[in-house]
Amino acid sequence: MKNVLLLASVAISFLFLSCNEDFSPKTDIADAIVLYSVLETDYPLYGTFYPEATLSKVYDLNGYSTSATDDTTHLIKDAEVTMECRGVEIELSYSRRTKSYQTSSVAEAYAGDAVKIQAKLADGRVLSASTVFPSHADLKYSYSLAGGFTSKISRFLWGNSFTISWYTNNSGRLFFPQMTLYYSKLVGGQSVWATVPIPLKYLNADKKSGGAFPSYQFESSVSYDYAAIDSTVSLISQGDSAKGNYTIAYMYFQLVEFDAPLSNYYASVHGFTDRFSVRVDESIYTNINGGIGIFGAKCGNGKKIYFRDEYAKLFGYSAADGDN
Amino acid sequence: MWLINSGRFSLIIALLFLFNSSIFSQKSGSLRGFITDSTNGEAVAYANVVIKGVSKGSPTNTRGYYYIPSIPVGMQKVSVSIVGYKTREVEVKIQNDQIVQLNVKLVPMSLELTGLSIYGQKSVRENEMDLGLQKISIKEIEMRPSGIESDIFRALKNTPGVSSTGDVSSRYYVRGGGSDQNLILLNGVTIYNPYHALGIFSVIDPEMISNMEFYKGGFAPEYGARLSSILNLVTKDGNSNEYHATANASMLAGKLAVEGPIPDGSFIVTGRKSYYSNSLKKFLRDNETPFEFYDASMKVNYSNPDFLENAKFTIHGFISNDQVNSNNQLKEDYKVGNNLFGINWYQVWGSPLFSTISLSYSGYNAQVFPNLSQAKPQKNNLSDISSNWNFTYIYKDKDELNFGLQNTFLKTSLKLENIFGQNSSYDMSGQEMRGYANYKFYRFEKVGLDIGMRANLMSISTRGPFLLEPRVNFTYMPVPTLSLKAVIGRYSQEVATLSNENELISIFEPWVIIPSYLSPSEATHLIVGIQKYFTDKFSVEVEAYYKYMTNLLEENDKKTTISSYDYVNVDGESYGGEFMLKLQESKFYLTTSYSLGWAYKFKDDIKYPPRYDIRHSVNLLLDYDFGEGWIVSSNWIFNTGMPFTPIAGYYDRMQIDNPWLSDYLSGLFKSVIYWGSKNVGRLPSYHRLDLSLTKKFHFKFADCTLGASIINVYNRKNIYYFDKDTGEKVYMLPFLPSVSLKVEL
Repeated sequence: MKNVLLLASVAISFLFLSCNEDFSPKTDIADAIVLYSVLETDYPLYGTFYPEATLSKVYDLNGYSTSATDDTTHLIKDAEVTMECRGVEIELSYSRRTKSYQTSSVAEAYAGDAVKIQAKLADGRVLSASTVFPSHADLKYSYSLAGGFTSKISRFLWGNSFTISWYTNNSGRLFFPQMTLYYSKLVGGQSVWATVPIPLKYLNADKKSGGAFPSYQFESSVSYDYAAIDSTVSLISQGDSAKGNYTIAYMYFQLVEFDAPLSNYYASVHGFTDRFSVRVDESIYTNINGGIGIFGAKCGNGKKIYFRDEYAKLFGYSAADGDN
Repeated sequence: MWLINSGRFSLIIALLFLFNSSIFSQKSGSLRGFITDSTNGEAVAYANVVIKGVSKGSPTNTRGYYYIPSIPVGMQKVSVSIVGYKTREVEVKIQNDQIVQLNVKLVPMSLELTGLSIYGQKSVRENEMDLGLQKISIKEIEMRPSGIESDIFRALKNTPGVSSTGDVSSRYYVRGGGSDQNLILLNGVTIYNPYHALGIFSVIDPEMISNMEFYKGGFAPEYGARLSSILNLVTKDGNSNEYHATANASMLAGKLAVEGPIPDGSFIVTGRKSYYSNSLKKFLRDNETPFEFYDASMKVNYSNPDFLENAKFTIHGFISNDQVNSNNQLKEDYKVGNNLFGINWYQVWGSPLFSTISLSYSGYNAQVFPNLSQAKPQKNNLSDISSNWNFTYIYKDKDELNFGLQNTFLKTSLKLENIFGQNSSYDMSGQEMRGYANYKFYRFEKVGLDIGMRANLMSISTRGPFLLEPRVNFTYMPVPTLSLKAVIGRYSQEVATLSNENELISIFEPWVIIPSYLSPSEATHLIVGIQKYFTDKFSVEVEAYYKYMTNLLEENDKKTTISSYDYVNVDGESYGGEFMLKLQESKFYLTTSYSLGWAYKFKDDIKYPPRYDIRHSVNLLLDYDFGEGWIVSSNWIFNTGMPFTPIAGYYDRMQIDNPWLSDYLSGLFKSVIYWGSKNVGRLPSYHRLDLSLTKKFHFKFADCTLGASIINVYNRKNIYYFDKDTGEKVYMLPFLPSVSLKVEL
């Protein structure tokens, strides 16, 4: 028994030891160049885009924390950056204000147009990439909204959700849908505008909290529960008995489509999201020849969905005039 | 095609029979039987059965069966011995050309006398071809400092040549092979997911295991389907003499085992269920995770000479289940389970033939339910229906012929979204048929030779491995206490997990049949070794190995389009040496091991070490019996740090979290790590001391064992990984005390 106590004493004495040693996970800083450029065409409205790109190099940090840095010494400001679209070469110049390469005017581009970028550094290194502007997705509703959004949609005929779909002939591209309610409220005789996002559904039993919002998706449709739309409209005046002060203007559905490189980039940055796994290294997609980063394009689309008066009156509101 | 192949197989068997010219040339008798524990009827594996006065003997197999041929006729004194039991001597009359049946019940030593007599002993068959085989006693595992839950896999990691990527995980890697290259058999049935709680613990409760064999390489033709190792676990048969219950409580789970006799047999049922424990917080990334797991096993044995003489039938089953149920639609849930069921028929035939015929089912299913979180939906199902026909024939000159046929219907289904957000679906099924035969030469006093072949008669993967896998095992003993051994063999694997080596902890590692566009994995093992017994209780083993692996399955991190393949073939190589010293005295037991190893993978013309490439590894295990039921066990481990990918700088990465923004380039950047060459760095060395203290009490109606254990006694801060965002070091297990109580009624 004495031996047991002796051994236990030795063991307990170890408790006061802590073996921690200095160690740096860093190695020699790599000589790598980073190019970013994300172009957005306003097709079919005008068919233009604004050329812009950033160039930087890999740098070291004092310590390991990667929280936002204001250090701009790693920006490359003296490169020759050009883009080419529809046979037109566009020269970009460095702007100290925006810390990026850009032009003073927009360039012409339509859906399906190819666009290239090239960055020639002062030391002779060349970075290049190319992509294609995504097509414009036409939106379709599961129920005809002639005259505006109404409460008189037969759930037996049309189901419990309002579906918005779009046609795409490009697989492997990401879509980002979003719907927002625009409304106004009279405050001191003045109309004050506000917005609130509309969830796909409310998760909790009260149907008013725990909203689930759409995320990125490859599918070409999205469905909003009618109950979620109703709850969102109702919630804007929660606790306010003066319902007549509210005017619901419209729901604005926005859809953003990424091209293939940008979709791959987004997926590789966000592709690891469960709570349990621990991944130490990461492999981020790049389409830049001679460096890292991304050269991509996207386009957006949006549609306003106005409300019928009878729908607004259900909540004691009024509906703004609109044209569906 | 099958007829042609079965014809080849029959020819090989016939040749091997004919090869033994001495089958009919000697006149003598044989002895066979089963060795069991007198208190509960459990088979006693690896006991030495020796005919005193003549240099003949045989160890029992995992079923407690032995067979000794060519014994001179007349009265012979038979000695049966194994540590932990009283040696028993029996006189038996050997008759000419007769097989005499002798079943012996061994009486365990009393609790006080047993002390540290829990470890293996030198085999009576000195020219045994057992290079690469480790026989690990379950008592040895239970005695080791285990932390909050006793675990077989954690004990395996103390074996030289076995490494891990951290003490948080129970996953193990053998001689430079991946974790899915380890075959884990429970009563001969494959367990596809042997882990609870994301790999923190094994699903195998040591309480239900009778004995285990661990092959680190060079395994016999009877075994296949994996490239690196075989862990063969046999569950207890259950007490055939009286009803018996054992309750066990640790800080993580409660366990209960009930066993007892039935007419002409016995049964055992075990169960383990986790309960909420703060202890898990030491292991998990999200330490609020509501983890639950359970496992249960059953086994029923039946042996009735009136029904079938010298036969034994076993029905066994095992289920395990893990789940995370967050009760929050914005968080993902997780579920994984195993279901095993098998029927075994063991038969000792009138001739010196022993057979095991089995039919089994093994199912595995895993699913990630993303609900409305950002996690990706993933689902994997596997079903394995197998029948195995294994035969052992022992010749009069002690030579042994093993042959058999193994047939498996395997179906895998996988649905997931890959890292680029693209949906993948693999549904594959097929039939796998393997025939094997190996002839073991035991006839020579100084030489042991095992020549065998495993034939891939039907393959489940589209491309299939090479038809034949030759295996040769050689032992030479210049003097009785010194063995020189060598093994060479070919191995193949047609199912693999789709795992990402960059994930230290992974929620989902699905099993799939190798996709049709890839070739199955194959490996060649070359092992040489020396074993020296200075005394019966002091031995040294040295082994060196070389393993070359082709067509390993790896995630295609260059996949950029939906048409690109998700996985690619890569090659691998590993080599090294191992040293092990065992010293057992009445009061203490010491095991010291050192291993030196190199492991590499070859991908895209780049050679890099995987994270489980541990260059140097030292393990010291010392147990001391203070008497009166007090036993202290200590375990010190030292490993060279794991490879890691170093930081080669930082760069500002464009953030596109909000895709509706029209201008990403105006300030939406975040500093992130620019990674250097893959795994060229090494973390600081890993070392840790664990201690445990057990005290056995004997009450009138129960035996109790009270245990206290401390993991990482001196609180060494072993680095697990670096957080990518903060650069903070994330450490492995800290100082972690725990207690356990076991009550045997």
